Amino acid sequence: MSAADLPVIAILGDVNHGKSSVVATLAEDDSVGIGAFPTTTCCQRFRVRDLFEFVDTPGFQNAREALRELEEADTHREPLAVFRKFVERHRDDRFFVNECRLLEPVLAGSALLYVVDVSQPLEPRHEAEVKILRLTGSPRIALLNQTGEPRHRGVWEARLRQNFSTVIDFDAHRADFTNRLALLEALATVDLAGKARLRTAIAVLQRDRDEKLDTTARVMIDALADVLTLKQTEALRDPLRVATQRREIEERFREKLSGRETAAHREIVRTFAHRRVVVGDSATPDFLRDGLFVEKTWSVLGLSGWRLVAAGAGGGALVGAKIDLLFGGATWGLGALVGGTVGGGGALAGSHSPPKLTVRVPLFSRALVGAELTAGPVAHDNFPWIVLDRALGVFVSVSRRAHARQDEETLDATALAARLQATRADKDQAWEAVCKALAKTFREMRKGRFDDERRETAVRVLRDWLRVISV
Amino acid sequence: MRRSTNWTLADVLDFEALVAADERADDPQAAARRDAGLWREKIAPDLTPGEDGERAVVFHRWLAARRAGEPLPGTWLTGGWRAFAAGAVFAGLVLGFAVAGGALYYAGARPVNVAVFLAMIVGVQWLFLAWTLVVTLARGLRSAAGRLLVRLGERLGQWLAGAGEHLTGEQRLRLRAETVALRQLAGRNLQLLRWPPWLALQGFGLAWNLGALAALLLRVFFTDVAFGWESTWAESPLGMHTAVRLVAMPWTWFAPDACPTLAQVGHSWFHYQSGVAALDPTATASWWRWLAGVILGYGLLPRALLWLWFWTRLRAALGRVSFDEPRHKAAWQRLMGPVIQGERAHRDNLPSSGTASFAAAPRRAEPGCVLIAAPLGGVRAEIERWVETQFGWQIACVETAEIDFPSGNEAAFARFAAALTGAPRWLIAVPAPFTAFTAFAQFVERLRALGPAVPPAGFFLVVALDADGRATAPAPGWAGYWRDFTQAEMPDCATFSLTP
Repeated sequence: MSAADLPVIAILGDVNHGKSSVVATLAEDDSVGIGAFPTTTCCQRFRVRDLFEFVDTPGFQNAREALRELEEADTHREPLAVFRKFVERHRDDRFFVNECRLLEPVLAGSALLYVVDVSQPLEPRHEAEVKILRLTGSPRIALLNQTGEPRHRGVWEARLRQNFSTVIDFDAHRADFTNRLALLEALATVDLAGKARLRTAIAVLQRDRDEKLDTTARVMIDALADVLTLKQTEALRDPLRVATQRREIEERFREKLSGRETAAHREIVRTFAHRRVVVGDSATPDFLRDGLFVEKTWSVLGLSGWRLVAAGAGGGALVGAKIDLLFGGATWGLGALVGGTVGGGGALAGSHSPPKLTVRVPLFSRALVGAELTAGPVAHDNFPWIVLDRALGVFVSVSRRAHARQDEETLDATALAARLQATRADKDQAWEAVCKALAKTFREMRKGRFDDERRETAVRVLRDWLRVISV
Repeated sequence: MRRSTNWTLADVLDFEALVAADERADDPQAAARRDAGLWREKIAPDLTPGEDGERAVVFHRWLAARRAGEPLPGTWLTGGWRAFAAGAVFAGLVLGFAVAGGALYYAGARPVNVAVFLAMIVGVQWLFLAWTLVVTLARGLRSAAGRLLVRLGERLGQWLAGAGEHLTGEQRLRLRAETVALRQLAGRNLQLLRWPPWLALQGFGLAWNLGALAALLLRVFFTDVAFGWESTWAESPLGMHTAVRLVAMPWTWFAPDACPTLAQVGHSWFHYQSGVAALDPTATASWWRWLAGVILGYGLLPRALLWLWFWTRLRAALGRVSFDEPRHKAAWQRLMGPVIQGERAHRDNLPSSGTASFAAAPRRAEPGCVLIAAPLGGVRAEIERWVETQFGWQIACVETAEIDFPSGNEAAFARFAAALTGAPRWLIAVPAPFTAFTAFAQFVERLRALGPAVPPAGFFLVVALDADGRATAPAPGWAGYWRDFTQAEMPDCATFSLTP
């Protein structure tokens, strides 16, 4: 389909009212120039597959003066002809550069999205802008954006409702995926000509979102599978300096674990195309400030209380039950009981303290391959949940972060825990089911029984949960 | 989930190797350009409607386009694999023939013991089958076998890397990259590599049975061979005959002669004491059909069924290959482009918002006129006071104007122009933030065009309002932006910031 046939949505408004922020959020592109000063001087086009285009236009710069010439359209038989003449007349006029550029998509028949910042007062030039857009007769929606305290909302809303068929709230700096889709839905209802394509575009964007959730789930599951089985084995260098080498191996093991975790976090951030979010780079503020083995991380993240006990007991009970089975039930379920108690007790004790890494000499290694020291894998019950929580924290932060945001975010364990708590508050039952499924997955990972089928099951469980917490 | 169709093992391996190589590419943009070009020129034109969303189809065509003339690991690995499988078949034939030939040795002193022959030809196979079944059913053993396979893959990779030491640096790097890709295949997501060894094993088994059958038939047709059975425990041939009939049940309904009768079994019971001469030649010869039936029914047929089963499993595994892994999605995005494709923004030269240092205002006791932007009307007195204090002006005229509406100030302009004849200096107080800069430029141009009484050079005073509406100093960014704007548009004017 040629560019000329695509439905186009032009995003218009005064300078510094958030047009580019809206565009950045809609396009999921944090490289769109955003600033308090005029930054957009040309129309920048964004194409959603071959379905529709939206255009970031330069802000109005001389609306009141332009309106003097465009008012004629109010009584003209063909209003857009007046606009066309205006553009032809002022094509090389330095005082109407922006107006000519922003009117180009309007003349091409695009639907209009007028962005206003309700924290700024309604001034006469805004009245002129509103009137100009009304005179075009194009399908149009007004978007109430806010960059600060919405002190002027009432005035703006009253005026916009007089001139626009639809007025909706859209905080470009806080809008999540659902808000984006709601905006496109609203546009579909206004722009009847492009309705079908916009609806298809919504479906495409939803599929794209699902792909991102699937990718994230795969990244998380693979990272968990890796960190739960990660080991650091080295040949013993000097039998007289074992302690020194133990510390070195521990350090290298931690680095390896953290490196694997950071790689997963980076992958998640990249999946959601956030270039301003930095993970694990010592030169810049770290997105996740607290490390994997920091006391604070362990005190607030991971599974807490009886939930971890239940998961631990489940695993222990399972082992016990197998022992019962081995004895043909002659043990009267004692195995399951003891296994459950030991597993649960083990999980409860020290569930919120970082694991103490132990470096050991593997059995038979001396005889088979010479003396070796091995650190890992980490056997702590809460370890996979801590890793998962940190990854979920990164996911929640980036999946809900609007691309219009220009700040660099730093999360610590407490902020992460609060954010996760907020996502789970009313979803405890669903989380319960996820916990059970994942606890089984972690056991399978640790036992080396994590094959393709189990991986797909785990990915499905986690992906569904990500879908729940991403909105 | 996208499933593959018509993908071969070589395809999957080559595809993964190429995707892995692209992931490590030094210039991702170049890879994206190449793939976008392939999509435009070679893939998209041949797709039927609906196929453009099918990853399996699109990736298959992408692979075909990328493969041209480039030797890839999947191709050489499956080539090697085929050679290995052919070798296994050949070895099976030779070994089967040789072992059966050996077991059928007959020099006239002692008949060929059918039990020993079958144990060597068919029994060994069943032992292996039983062991395989145990491994397959026991989960622990299975995962151990899986780990062993992965380890073998790693060892193979290391060996290949070591063997490639004599290669050039580039070749070595490439070989390493490809072995990494193979390790990835063996270790995660794809369990395809487990089926070819099974297939080769069944190929060997099939050939073994064929070789044994050929040896049996050749011996029977072209040499004199006598078959018999021996037992110290048996008291009569009845038990043996029952067992023989049971074994022959699968084929006796259509080939009743392929099973010795009770009399034939009895007359082929060999005792060392009596020797071969005591046996009935017809009875000793009657066994060969039964033996051929056993090889066919209990050796060849199970092997053929197993081969078929493993082949269907391989096909099913190939059909289950999904293209949903993050690396596949990255390749897909390179081909199709991002869902939302933005063009590179063009930027005109705009004033920067760098912080500005403002020169101290000149103190001159001269008359001047002041224009105040309408939004600053509430702080008019403060602005006047500042101008009088900082500039030392005696203000002759103060007018309020709509600085974003150049043609909307006719009356104010007329009064201002009149006042300027006696006080030929002008200053415009402008707000910060402010955004209608083009309108303001036109406003100033109109002001200057009022007549010769308006000197071209003037002053701008940037004023901000605090939350309570009081005049305050503008933020450095806004002050700098105003200064750069006025310097670019009106270089003969000077810009100051209000300092309360």
